Amino acid sequence: MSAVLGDGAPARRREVRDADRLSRVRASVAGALGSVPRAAWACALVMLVNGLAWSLITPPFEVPDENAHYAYVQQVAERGTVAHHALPEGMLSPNEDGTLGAVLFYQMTGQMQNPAPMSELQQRSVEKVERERLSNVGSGDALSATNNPPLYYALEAIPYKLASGGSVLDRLAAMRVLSALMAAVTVLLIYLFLMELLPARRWAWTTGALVAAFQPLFGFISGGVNNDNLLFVTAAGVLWALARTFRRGLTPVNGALIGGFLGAGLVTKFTMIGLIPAVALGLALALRRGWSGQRGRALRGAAWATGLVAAPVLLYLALNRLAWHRGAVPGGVGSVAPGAGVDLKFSTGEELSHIWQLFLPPIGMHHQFTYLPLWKTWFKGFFGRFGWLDFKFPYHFYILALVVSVGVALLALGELVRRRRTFLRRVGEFAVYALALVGICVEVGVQSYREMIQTGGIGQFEQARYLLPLLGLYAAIAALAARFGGRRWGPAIGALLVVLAIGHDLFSQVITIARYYT
Amino acid sequence: MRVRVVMAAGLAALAVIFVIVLLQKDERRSGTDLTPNGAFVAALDAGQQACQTGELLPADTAAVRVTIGSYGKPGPPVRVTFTGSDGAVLSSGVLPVGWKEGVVRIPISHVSTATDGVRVCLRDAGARPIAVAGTLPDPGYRLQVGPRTIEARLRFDYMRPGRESWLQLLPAIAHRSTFAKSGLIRNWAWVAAIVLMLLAIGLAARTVIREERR
Repeated sequence: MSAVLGDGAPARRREVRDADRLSRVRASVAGALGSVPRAAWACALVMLVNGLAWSLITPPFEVPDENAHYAYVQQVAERGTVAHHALPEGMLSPNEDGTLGAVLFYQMTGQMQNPAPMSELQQRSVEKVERERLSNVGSGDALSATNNPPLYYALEAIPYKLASGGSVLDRLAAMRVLSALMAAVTVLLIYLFLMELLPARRWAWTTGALVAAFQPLFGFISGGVNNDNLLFVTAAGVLWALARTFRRGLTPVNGALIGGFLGAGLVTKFTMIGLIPAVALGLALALRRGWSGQRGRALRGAAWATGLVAAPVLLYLALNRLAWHRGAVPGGVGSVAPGAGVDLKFSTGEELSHIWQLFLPPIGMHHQFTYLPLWKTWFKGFFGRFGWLDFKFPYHFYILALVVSVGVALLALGELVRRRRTFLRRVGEFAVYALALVGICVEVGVQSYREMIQTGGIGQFEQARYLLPLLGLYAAIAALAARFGGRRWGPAIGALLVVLAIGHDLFSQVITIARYYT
Repeated sequence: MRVRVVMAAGLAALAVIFVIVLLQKDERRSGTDLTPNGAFVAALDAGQQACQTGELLPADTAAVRVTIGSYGKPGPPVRVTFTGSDGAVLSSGVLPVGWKEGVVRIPISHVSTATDGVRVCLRDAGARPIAVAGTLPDPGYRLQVGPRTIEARLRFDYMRPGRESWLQLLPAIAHRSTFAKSGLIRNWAWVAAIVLMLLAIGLAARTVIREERR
């Protein structure tokens, strides 16, 4: 008996210690959440309702690749495994395929003159498919989403399952709610990023976060099922964690935040690879800064960062190989073979030229584009090209947007010049954010060149939404522009920028309604 | 104070622009046959007609819009007829002689209820040839052009009566937004979208104003 009691005492002590630790963790999490300003929650709430509005306005499957992302979630939810290429390619589940047909997906997508169903008779076709209770199991192929890592899809399987008693459209509606929630978290993280990046002016944080929350391309994507939504969360999280680290040092918590967000992003979408150089530079600079005074703490921080990046990625690579029987990196890396009948050949020199031309005007290069992607793809795309890239604003709108953008950029630049001493002190941090931009651009450029080689230039990979992982930097430009006005005029400039963003978002919704319902 | 003024003036300006947009009048569609308008697919000689079946003739239609070429000359009269599966004429109309080639609007007798499985015939009722636009080939569809049958389809846009502002069209838009959506949301999605956007704008304005002094 006494032996039993004797054994039980240490166990009870352990339980008490564990309970203490748990309550400390709970208290610190509650403290951290409590320290988030109410304005940050308000900005996140604005994004949530904006994202939900977009999800109600945009017809089913009209967010780019939503049919493919839905198919991936269905594969995860119905079969408990990832998507894989299957022949014949594109065999979706009968239920999804039937629904796509009934909602006129195949006639609408890319055909801007074709609206969504307008007649009760077309609605009856949708209801007929819903009554048929077709199979939810497809070939396992998720079209363009097949090669993606599974984290977003695993999370979206929860609303899918919650709505599993309903139709494809019910499940899609439930899944869209989760995407909108993710967008709200993105805006919350952007607010926190601005708090660390540009301290002392709360109204500037609000300006930046709200300008991001009303960015219409972001709102449009957040209203659909697309793994970009989790990518945006993780990328905003990385920017926040980096800014925290520059401000407070490379602590284990900051290291864990950097690694956690980057690791989660890498198992969400490979675009996140573009942020690795920036994170590496950020960690190196933070380690250097902490080396003399707090070496141990900085090393622990770096270890947390590395470990939390490596763990999910290694697990993902291992599962790909051992459990899911697909290549370690589905889709592969490096050079690609040209598609059948394609005359182009992969060349590293041309690839570098392609990446340059994708973002900047060509200088002494063989022209690979018949248009200027900086204007057509990135600027016009970022300020308003929606659906499956099949509708946009009238041309004059983009000229107006260019004028406003140049004005905002000049104000932001003016603020940097005015604070040049601070800026020069923080030039390393600025280099990290610049490298984040370059990294994402290079990653997108590499993918774009691969697509060009594989399709002979017919397929177009690049879309403006691929820059949205850097939405935090867009918000920072708006916040900087507002700060240029100083204490006296800054809040008013901020309010003006927010009003412009609201107008931009509202009129984007108007052209979306006009596109699909008139 | 400045923030309140900027916010109020800015939102008021947006509201004014919004109202101006809502009051813009134009011809509005009641439906379409969803066929890409890629090329002239049917050349009709004088007196010939092109017919296709499986058309959905939408409710509240008073005209049909088609792209027709007249080889650079003033167009001949064109007659369009919609026939139900029982052979009864549902609607018809004539485009009088003298129209200019391009997108033309042919007035038809008002259609108040939607019918599917409709046969539509477009006849060149004049003395000069015309060409009608649509898609060729369009597998699965049959277009009868004079004595020949080809795998093609003509593009028809169905138009509501007169010219309407967006404001006048709002009830129709609200009704259309209930189609092809989840049963969980379809009947209230349009109201919810408006309420949510008002909420987002109100909350954003309140947050900006509250943060002014911080």
